[in-house]
Amino acid sequence: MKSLRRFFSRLASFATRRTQDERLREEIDEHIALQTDENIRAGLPPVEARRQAMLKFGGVEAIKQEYRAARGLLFVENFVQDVRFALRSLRRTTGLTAFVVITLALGIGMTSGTFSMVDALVFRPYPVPHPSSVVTLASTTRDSSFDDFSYREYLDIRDKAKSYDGVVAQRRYGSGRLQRRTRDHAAY
Amino acid sequence: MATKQKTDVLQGTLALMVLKTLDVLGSLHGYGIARRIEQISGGLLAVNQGTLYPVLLKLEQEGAIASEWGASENNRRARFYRLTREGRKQLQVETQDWEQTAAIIARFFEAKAEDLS
Repeated sequence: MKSLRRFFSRLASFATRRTQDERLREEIDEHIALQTDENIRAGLPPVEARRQAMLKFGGVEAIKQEYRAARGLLFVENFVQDVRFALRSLRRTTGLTAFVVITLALGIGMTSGTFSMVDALVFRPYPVPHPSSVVTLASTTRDSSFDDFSYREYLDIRDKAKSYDGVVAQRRYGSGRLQRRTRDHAAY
Repeated sequence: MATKQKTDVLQGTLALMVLKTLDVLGSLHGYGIARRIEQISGGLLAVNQGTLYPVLLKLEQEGAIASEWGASENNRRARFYRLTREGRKQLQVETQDWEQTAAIIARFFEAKAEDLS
């Protein structure tokens, strides 16, 4: 409960960190002023009084650091700072930035292009209900152990064969012959 | 690591001192709290006064104390801290804890060899 409340208060002060810094600065100033007055009353010359007061207070910067660490969401603050720094550095070296961006873009583009091609051609199954029962028919003759069918043969197979749900022919470019693409539903 | 542990303990006790100071003296600014702690401890507590402010912030975040702007003795703007109801409860609990711990440690120091036989 306590830590939850602390988190929300940190969140709130993260949003208002400028005024919070202001507040701490003012408090420190006031503290040192009061201590200086006290030292003057004790008989010290003003300059020495102020010096003593500051010595007693301790390292102002260290306190500010500690205060900041306890106040807001330090890691978010640091992250924002780092991002800003990175952007500044990139803007300073425009040429290098452009070169790196182009290199990365080309690299990512080429890999994803190759992959989507392979994906579409190899990994993706046929867009039919039972891709595993799609078969390719080939004929075997005395001259050749793997041959295509003629168009008439295709018509015969399509009309007479009972083992397949359907038969389609596909023209193989370059070969000028016909090939069967069939869907076999009579699971064997 | 040893130094870190030391400051942790110190921070804890410092928070308790702050709570007690505000309990006794009511609303007070940072400098007043620092002075009071210094007086009570008789200067034995060698802490930089600045370390008080992170502690005050932490206590405020936890809801044990609240703060608002006011005018200090020299008529400048100063942040005044006061104990909240929750802070008073926390002070009670922590005071008990502290007294218990101190009592246990004291008993260890008092114990003699013959007591154990």
